[in-house]
Amino acid sequence: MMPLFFLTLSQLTQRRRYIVVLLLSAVPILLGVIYWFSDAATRPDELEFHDALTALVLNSAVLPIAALLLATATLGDEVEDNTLGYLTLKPIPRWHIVVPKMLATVLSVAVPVAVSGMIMSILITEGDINTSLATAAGLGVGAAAYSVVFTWGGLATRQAIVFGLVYVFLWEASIATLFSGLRFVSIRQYTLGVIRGLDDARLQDTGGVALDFAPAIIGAVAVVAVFSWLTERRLRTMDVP
Amino acid sequence: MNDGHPTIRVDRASRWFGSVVAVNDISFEVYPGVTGLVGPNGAGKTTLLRLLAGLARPSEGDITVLDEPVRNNPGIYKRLGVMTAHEQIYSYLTGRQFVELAATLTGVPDVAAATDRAIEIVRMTDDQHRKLGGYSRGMRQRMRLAHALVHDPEVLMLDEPLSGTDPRQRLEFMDVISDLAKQGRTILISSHILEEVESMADRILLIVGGKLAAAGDYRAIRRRLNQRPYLVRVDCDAPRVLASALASEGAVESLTIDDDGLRVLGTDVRALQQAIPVAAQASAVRLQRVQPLDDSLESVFEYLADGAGVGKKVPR
Repeated sequence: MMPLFFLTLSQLTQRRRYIVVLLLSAVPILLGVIYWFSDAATRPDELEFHDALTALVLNSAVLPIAALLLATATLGDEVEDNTLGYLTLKPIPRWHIVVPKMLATVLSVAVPVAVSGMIMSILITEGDINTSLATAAGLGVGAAAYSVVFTWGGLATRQAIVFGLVYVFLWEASIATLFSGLRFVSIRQYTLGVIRGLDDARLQDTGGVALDFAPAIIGAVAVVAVFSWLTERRLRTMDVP
Repeated sequence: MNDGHPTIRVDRASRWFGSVVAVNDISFEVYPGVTGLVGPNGAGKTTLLRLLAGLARPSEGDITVLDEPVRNNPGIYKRLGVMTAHEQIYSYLTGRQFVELAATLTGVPDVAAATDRAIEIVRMTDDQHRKLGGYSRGMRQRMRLAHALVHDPEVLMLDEPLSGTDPRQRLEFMDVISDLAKQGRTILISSHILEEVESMADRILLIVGGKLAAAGDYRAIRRRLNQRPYLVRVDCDAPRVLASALASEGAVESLTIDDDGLRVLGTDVRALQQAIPVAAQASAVRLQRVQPLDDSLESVFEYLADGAGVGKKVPR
């Protein structure tokens, strides 16, 4: 599995879109730097500012967009570039293609976004390690779930970016916030639930929609399992170009 | 290796996309040696090869390779190597890394030795450490062949492998294929150029309009090809003199003289090609141009298809 893991890392990190992901990930750090240098008397409350950046900038924009840009390319570009045959015409089960590709994708998305969240937290909280690690862990869980969903999307449709944008901005950012029952099927809520579960001082203003740590982890694991299976199934049944 | 036993069996395979039938009720068997899969562009060769390679599912019918179903059977690729028609590659890998990737994924015991051997076979040793993105089209094709054969498969399926190669590379490629066939492998090569395939293949499968138009020894097919009606326009300084000289030639079916010059219809291509200059020289006529009027690939393939009877199974 390692050759495909490293092949996928090369594929994802050597494309121009990875620069976009790095630039996106720099935005929360930049905002943290601005906060750090601003006048302590006039700047917003640390807790509120950190929660706002985590929930609105990192979790609602940077994370899903980074995952969308990279994960839709994981198998989508193999289909688009007609290189998928180099992998499927080998005596390996489809799982041996899906698992290393997804692991590489999760790593490619999680590292810049989680590091961005950590540095931002350190800057705003003046070095609170617990908050920084909780933020990074939550973003890591969200990166895994988003990456797996969008990897499937890249294989299932040629309009994966459109599918992802609709999913992120219509489902996650709009519909899933309207009804509290939908928090169980929202990756955004899984991420916030993990952060809140690891650092109970954070993200308490939930607007009536909150998920505890355990259901957040279970939900994320379920999403990863279901969409990994769907990806494997799709790879097994589709006509490979 | 199999000997006298078909390595590929296709039983009434069809594939359609919506209302378009790309492969229509095809049955044949392929044996060790080189078999050419020929037909005009759009005939269904690539779709058929994709079905044979397990990349696509037949809408109907059965396909087996080495007595195993090929679709959803990854294990078969330990014994089968495929080079698809797509020329895209991982341009950021070196040629050697690309072949090593195939060796690793196919579970070859000694990856380095197998990679060396495959690269040697395609004569790319000197350029193996260059990035694939910097290769010429012909070099990429050769590395793609090395990728397909690094695990020493019993069956090789190659879709338009000579596409993009220059004449020298083409000859080298043909040598490689010939060497591989001598080792007892089954090699199936698709091409839309009959002459290209006939120099390598012992047998030919002719696909026209998604159907198997003819199958068998290429010499028999070539004989039919040489006997097809052949219309030639001849521009010369004395068309009537040349026409009377050609009238007694057995290869000439009819002669027409009009404002455009002399038109000669023959039934034996080679005999006619030889008779025209000989007759012109004998009657002191100066030839200006000899132009076949109906020599497109499509017309040649259609002629063969009509002659063989589309859908008729031709013995091996």
